[in-house]
Amino acid sequence: MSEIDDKSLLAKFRNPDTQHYAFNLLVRKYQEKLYWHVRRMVIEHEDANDVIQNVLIKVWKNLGNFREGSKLYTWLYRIATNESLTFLNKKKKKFFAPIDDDESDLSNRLKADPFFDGDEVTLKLKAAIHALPEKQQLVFNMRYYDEMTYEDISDVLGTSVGALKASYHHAVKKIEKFLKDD
Amino acid sequence: MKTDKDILQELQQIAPQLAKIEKKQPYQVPANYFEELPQAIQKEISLQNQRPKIWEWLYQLIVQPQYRLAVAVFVAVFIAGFYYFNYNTMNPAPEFNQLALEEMDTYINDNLDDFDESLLLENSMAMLDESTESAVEEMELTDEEIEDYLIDEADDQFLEEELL
Repeated sequence: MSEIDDKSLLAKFRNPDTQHYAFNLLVRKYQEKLYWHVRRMVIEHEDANDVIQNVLIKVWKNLGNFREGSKLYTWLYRIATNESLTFLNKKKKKFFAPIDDDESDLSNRLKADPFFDGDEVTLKLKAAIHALPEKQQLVFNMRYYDEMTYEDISDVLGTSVGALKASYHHAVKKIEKFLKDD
Repeated sequence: MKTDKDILQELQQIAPQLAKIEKKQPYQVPANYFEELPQAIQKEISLQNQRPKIWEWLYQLIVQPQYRLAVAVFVAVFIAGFYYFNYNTMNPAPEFNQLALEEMDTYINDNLDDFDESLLLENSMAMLDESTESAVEEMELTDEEIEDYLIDEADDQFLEEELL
């Protein structure tokens, strides 16, 4: 089945008769991209599942207010990003301390995770990414994995393109150093 | 795609080692997860739509004729309870130290039979001692003046009882 374009999807959503159908199409079109974006931030599947459900319910509630001048997928990414950060902050407060700052702790968690299937290099790359500040992780993930343009990342994070280029550059340098040092 | 090439070139320039690593998704999801997620979301949305909001529920409750009497009684009891408890809070029983001395004397004289005589006597003596001590302190007398007063005014028997 060919994917419906965002404009037609939004038009169908605005029609009460086809609203649920249109939303179902939207979920099927974007669920994987949004899920992996969230999963890279929160790491575990159970957490990612909770966050993605919240994201999609927020999308359902707010899609009627979406302005067509913006790109739908960057708007979706923005909601997913905010929900992931909110989730991580709540988790930190719950445990009264920063979590997963220790790379060995993350490696151990990933090794024990039944939903992780990566080799040593991948494990090390994940640990290197996770050692970055949250904002740099987001920039790196969106550029490296999702291959987004700086303009679109800027739309998601509300940061200037120049600042994003600098952030990505720093993130990549740190990861390269991390990989070389071992 | 131009963006992909740009991103790869950018990466090769900044981090050649990282650029060599094969990009792959190491995370997995449970079987059929993405097939079932849209249904799970639709189910959650339907549940949320079914859950009436509290204000809508209250409004429905008030406008339904069969509940009007019950709601009116509940509101009346609530208001009465509110005023009763607030009246007690706003008009508390007077504190003992807020009563005027004359009021207390009048009450005691009127209800003298209700009081224990020895207790009254004890309290009266204590009050007398306090008032005498404070009167002496207010006069600011020196020790010599007190001695002179005692020598001049007190009788010998009293002095013997107090000093010996």
